[in-house]
Amino acid sequence: MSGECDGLDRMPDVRLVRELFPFCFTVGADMRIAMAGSRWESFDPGVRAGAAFHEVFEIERPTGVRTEEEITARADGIFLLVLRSRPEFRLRGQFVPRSKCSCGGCLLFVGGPWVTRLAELSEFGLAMSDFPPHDPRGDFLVLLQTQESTNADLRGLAAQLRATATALASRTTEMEREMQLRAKLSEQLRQSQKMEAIGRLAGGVAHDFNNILMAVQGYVALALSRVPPSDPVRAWLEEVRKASDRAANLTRQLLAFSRQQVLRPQVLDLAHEIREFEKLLGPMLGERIRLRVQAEPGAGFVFADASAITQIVMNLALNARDAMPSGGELEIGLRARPEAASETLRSDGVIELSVRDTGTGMDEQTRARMFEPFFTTKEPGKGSGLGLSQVDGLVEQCGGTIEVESEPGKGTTFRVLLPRVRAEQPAPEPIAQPAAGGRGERLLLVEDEPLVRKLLEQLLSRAGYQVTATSDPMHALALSQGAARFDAIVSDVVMAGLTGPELTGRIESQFGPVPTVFMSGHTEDEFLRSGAIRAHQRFMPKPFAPHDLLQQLREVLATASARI
Amino acid sequence: MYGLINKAVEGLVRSRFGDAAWDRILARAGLPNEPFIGMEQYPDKTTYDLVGAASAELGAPAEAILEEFGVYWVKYTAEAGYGELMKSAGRTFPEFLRNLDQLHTRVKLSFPHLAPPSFAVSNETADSLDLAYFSGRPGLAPLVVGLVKGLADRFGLEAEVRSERVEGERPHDRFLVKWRPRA
Repeated sequence: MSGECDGLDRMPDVRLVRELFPFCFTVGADMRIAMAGSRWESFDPGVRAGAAFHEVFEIERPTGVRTEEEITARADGIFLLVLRSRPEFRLRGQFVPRSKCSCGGCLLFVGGPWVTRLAELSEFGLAMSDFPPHDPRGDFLVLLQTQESTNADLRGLAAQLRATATALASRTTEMEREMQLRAKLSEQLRQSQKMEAIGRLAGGVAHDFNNILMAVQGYVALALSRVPPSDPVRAWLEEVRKASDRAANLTRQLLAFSRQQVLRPQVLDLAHEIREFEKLLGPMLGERIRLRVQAEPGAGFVFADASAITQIVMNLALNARDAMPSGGELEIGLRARPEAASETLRSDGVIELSVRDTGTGMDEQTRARMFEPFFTTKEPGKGSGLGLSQVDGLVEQCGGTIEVESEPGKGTTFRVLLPRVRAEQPAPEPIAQPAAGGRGERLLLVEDEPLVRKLLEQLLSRAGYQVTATSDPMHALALSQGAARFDAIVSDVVMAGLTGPELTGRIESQFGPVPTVFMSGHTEDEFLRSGAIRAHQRFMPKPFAPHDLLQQLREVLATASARI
Repeated sequence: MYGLINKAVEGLVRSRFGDAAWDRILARAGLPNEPFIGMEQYPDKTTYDLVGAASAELGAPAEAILEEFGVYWVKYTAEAGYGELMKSAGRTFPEFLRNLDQLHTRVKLSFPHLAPPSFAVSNETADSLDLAYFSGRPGLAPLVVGLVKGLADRFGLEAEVRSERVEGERPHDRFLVKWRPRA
């Protein structure tokens, strides 16, 4: 059959087919290529007239088709031909059977490159011009390309949207945090205003109350000094003195609560303090909490402010109470520990003051933040979040440290370690016996509270001083300008017209340092907090015992080298 | 016009003059500051307004902006996902120009509402040809000048383009294009 059809000379229309289908070819009965389309020469010269079809192409689909008969039988289907010289290149098209071919002797393949991505064109060295205008594959490829670009656009837009959503979410979180912070700050402000108001109220009450107590305690002391030990009235007076001491202690606690207490460290028997405190604490804890106090006898002394210790224990105990809403056990322990306390003077080991509860306990996160001011796990209104931060600050002020042991569901133990100091048991307070009297020195007494002024005038006169008393600081100033100078001044701090320090300041500007004892029922005085007390001055918070005043007076007189 | 064109204008301004300039141009054109979507259709006025605002904002004649845009468009479409299409459109500069009309026709398949211009090549020599440009949109001839120059650059050539207006039954612009290897 070979040579019966050359595909060109006897088929004038094949020229047109070659142009319209640049990748077409015909196959003769001998299964050799009889004619190749116009593009083959430049694309793959191996596809040429005379080449064996099966050497050049492999029929990938339909599968199992090889002979002319088989091809003809499937001629109405799609054929995929693999170009053996470039296995990645395929032709897609159809065979026109010999019976339909005008030459009557060849199979005609019409089709073109099978390309599914525009990128394949350049990979195969093809161009859009290889797809004649009638061939929709060119359009199909362009469509694919634009859809791919559209998808890329959409991906870009989606990324933008995601970024915007993330930014929005982040901004929202930020705003929420800001709002929470504002609410918290506002709550803190409200709380601190409340505390300030309570503090002012407490301070004001304490001032007046202290003046009254001063008079009560002073007159009791004077009375006791006149009543012989055998007189039964003495026992009654002692009860009055004890009652007024308790009242004075109450005032101190009130001030400690409102944080207006100026810390006055002293050697304290912690066991004694704790026992005293136990009486107060019981009613505050309620019936569902069992309080146990385990104070090791002779645990030792600490150098601390009594009100600070009160605050520390009070805060820890109240926290423990709140951690046991269904009740439980609160144990306050006190024992000496041999280890050395750091950064302390006169240290002799430490005293461990522990507060243990059987409450809810704290997780690691809470433990990490518990000393932060305003951090609280309590419901709004139930706690200021200041308790533990105050404890932390006070313990530090006292030269101590805190250990905490806590686990959720297993309760909490706070151990406050305070430097232990060597000290003798404080001697019982001498009762109303002027320890150190005057020697005729001239004293200027300035006190606007008549009760106190009258008491001190009597006390100081009886102690051997020449007392000039006035309620008016301006009058006192005038008195100081007189011919006779005063050896010392005893003055209230807060007075109308001039404060005590202002008064002495004016006097001293003229006459030099004057030994002075200031006294006050107020404790928020700035000059005290700023440590403005000088060597020839003393400060005595009201109420105080008469002999303390006489003692202080002697001390300042001893320091004085100048006279008014 | 499709958003792709406006996106390209945006790309040109942002890359050459910065983001703030684009924001000012949008504001001047009275357009919202939001991204254009390539496959979405926008009124022709949007593109004209953008070019007008860019001209005012950048202090350059609209013709210069359009020519600059034409150059940029070739680069932009190649980078904006149409690179393969550009590659397949012609192996040489003149072949590309010859296929320009067919390319637009094919692209219309993807952008059914596209009203593309029409191109015809004539008087072709080894280093020159005449390109006729038919468009229903007035004033865009400078864009084609830039486009032709940008295409020449893509093939490593430098093109000189002279344009003239041809009136008559089918008024159009004709570009006399001459090229040489880029120096």
